[in-house]
Amino acid sequence: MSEREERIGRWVSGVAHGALILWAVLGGALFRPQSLPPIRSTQVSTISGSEFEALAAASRGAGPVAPDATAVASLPTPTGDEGAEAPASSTAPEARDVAELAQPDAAEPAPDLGDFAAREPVAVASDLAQPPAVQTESPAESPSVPAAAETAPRPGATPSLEAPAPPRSALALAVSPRPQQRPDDLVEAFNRRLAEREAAEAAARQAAAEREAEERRRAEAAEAERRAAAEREAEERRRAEAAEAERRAAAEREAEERRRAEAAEAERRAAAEREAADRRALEDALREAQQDNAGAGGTDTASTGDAFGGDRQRIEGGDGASAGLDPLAAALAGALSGNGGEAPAPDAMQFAPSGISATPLPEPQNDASLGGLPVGAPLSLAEREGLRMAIERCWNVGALSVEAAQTSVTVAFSLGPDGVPEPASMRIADFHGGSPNAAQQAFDVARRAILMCGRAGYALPAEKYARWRDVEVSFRPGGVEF
Amino acid sequence: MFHKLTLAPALAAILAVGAPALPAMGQTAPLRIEITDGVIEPMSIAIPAFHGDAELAARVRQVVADNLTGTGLFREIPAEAHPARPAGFSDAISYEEWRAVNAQALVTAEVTQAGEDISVRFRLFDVFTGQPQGDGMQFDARAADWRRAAHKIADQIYTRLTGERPYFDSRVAFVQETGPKNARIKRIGVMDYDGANIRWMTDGASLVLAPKFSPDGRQILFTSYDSGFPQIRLLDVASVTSRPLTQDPGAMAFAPAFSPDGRRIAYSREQGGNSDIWLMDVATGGQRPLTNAPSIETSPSFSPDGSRIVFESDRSGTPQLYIMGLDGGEPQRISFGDGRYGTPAWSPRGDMIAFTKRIGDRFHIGVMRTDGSGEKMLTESFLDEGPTWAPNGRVVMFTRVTPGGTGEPRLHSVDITGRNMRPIELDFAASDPSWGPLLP
Repeated sequence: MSEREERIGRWVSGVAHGALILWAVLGGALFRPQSLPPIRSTQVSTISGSEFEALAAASRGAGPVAPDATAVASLPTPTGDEGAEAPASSTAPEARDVAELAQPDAAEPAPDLGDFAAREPVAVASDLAQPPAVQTESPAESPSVPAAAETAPRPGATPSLEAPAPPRSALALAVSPRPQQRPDDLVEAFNRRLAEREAAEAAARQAAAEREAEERRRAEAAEAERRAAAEREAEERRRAEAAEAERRAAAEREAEERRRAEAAEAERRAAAEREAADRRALEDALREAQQDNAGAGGTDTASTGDAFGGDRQRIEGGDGASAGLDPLAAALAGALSGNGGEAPAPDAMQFAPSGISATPLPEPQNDASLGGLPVGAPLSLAEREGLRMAIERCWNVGALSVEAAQTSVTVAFSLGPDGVPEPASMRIADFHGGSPNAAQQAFDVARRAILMCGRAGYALPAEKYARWRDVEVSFRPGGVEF
Repeated sequence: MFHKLTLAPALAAILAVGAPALPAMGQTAPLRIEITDGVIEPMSIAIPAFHGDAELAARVRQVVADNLTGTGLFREIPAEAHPARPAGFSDAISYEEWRAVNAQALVTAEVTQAGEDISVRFRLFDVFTGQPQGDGMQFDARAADWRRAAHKIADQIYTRLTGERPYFDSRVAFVQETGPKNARIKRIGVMDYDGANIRWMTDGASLVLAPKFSPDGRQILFTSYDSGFPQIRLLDVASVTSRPLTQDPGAMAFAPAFSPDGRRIAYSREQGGNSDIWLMDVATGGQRPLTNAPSIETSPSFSPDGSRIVFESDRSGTPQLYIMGLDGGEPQRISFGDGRYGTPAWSPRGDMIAFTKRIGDRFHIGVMRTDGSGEKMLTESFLDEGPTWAPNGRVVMFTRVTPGGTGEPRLHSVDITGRNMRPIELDFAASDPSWGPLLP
């Protein structure tokens, strides 16, 4: 480090320190703190509780404050002695301070302290009836002031002053009745009443809620009823349509059966005609074959070496009259040719199954009879259905007992030629699902149905009497809802 | 080969033509049909004026007719449609004339009175079969019991025509309710099943609930608030006196039910906020709990054989119906539908249980089989509750409360088919019906 630099450093240090010392010396005069305001003080005095109450009484206007009020207030006994000495307590205010208060007007009447007088006991509020021991005195006997009111202390009141009598009710009692002994069940009764009151309130609330709910329900019921009516109408419509559809279906079934029967009859006739034609053709062919046999017997003999071939050749080599005959015709031809059991078997191709048409057999004609009774064709579906529906509409399942409604019973009976049921013929053919008693009851109801609706005779074709003379009706109340 | 070919078609032809004709040559099979649907309508019955003492006969006839038509199963043919009545009780019946007015059944009867005794005899005829339906019967009774004699006749007719057991000659215990809702006066009464012949069993001084007839109809269990706490009392119907069965001041006892032999009762006992089903011997007072669960168990009802009870419990979270044996074991829940179930009552027939069901804000009286299947609602209203069975298990009586601020409970009955619901004709509010047994 050079000397010059060292010297510069000393100067800088010296200037800085000098400035610091200068600020320390002169700074106090520039930044002197402000002096605080002087603390203010005053003299106070304390008062006792009695003094405070006396002052408070004076401020409420409860009455004049005597010059020695403070002395009175400090005394525990309300003797009313005006010449009482001021208390010796050092905490008491100075007498001269008090003396500065305005003197009360001596003519001012004594205050009415009736409110502070002792009151008559108040009867206990209760819903219970008043005990009978309490007697109400007549108003004439009651004006006297209760003794308790007379003996009540009157702070600040002077005996010489005539205190006005406080207003009293004409019904006030001279003597307070003794409180009655509380009934033993008072609490329970009170609680019960309380509970009943709560219940009543709850019931009222519930009633309000019920009213609202009822209105809602009515609206819903009306809506439901409307819907139900609509559904009923729809249901009736559906039923009517179903019945109509069923009727149409039955008619169509009947027509279809008729058509089928006619077609079958036509086909049968056609088949018979075809068969007759074939038979005629076969007979013609056989006749020709016999004629050929008679004219050219050596042909078959020459061809015995190959029976099939010879026969086929014969047929094929013929004039063609028998070409294409069925196996039956061929067999018949063979048989008629005199070869007997040695007749040549037909060609395998000729046994190929031909189409077989199914032809329902025609119903027997009405000429059949049962002991002289007309049998006729079997009852049609419509006829059977008519009988079923006729009985069904009289079968009152509502009259069935619970057990009978679960019992199926089959009733056998006979009908007269006029279609009227014969009561004596009715019997239980079978039953299941219940006891014999239930079956008997189910039978009674079923019998009643058969007899009632058959009173005028069931509509059945007389020409088929033998087919419906004996009837068995199974009543199955499975659909009856219980 | 030739013979085979020639005989086969002939045999086939014989079979084809001859087979249908075979029955005709012998016996045709009966015509067989099957019926599965019927109609539901009242059965027409003619009850012409009874013979004998005119005034009394008219009253008896009217009760018989009311009993029968009140079931909804019968429709009385009006008198103006009747053909001439037989001159005497024993005269022959002209069935044809009664058939002409479509009468299915006919009742003839004669009522005679001798002093304080009356005698009623009747006959029932099946008009369409043209024969009597059972034998004629005679009932002798005191004149004061003429209504019972009429009930007996109606019971006979009802049983013979429907196959159901009788129930007209029976009584119902109930609670009459008077006064405003917040200060109801309740007293127990007993009446004929149709609302007649009311006798009061309590005076209304204390709150009474849920009377239950004993199996012999001589006693009634009920819940009384006489002591301030609900306790069970046993009332003798003949002397109209009662005695307490439970006297535990620390527990509430309510919802009692007689066992079928009348020797025990099941009831609900609540203590410390928990209620269970208890069983008590009526003679000795000995008792034991049947259930022991922290849930609320109440409303027990015995099966007809007395081996089981059905009761209500909320152990699953909502009130449901449970069945348990008296010898213990875990109760089996039988109700699984929507809603809350309560007040079950086992049918005297043993096959069904009636109950109250609440779905939303609607109440129903329903029935189900004892395994819980076949549940069916019979009624629906603002408030239906407390079903009780007729002695024949065909009819249910219950309480229906009409809605609104002036709503009040009324007794109704309904057939278990759900048909024929009708009110019991009473000129006061009533609730808590308990159907007694068939009277001897």
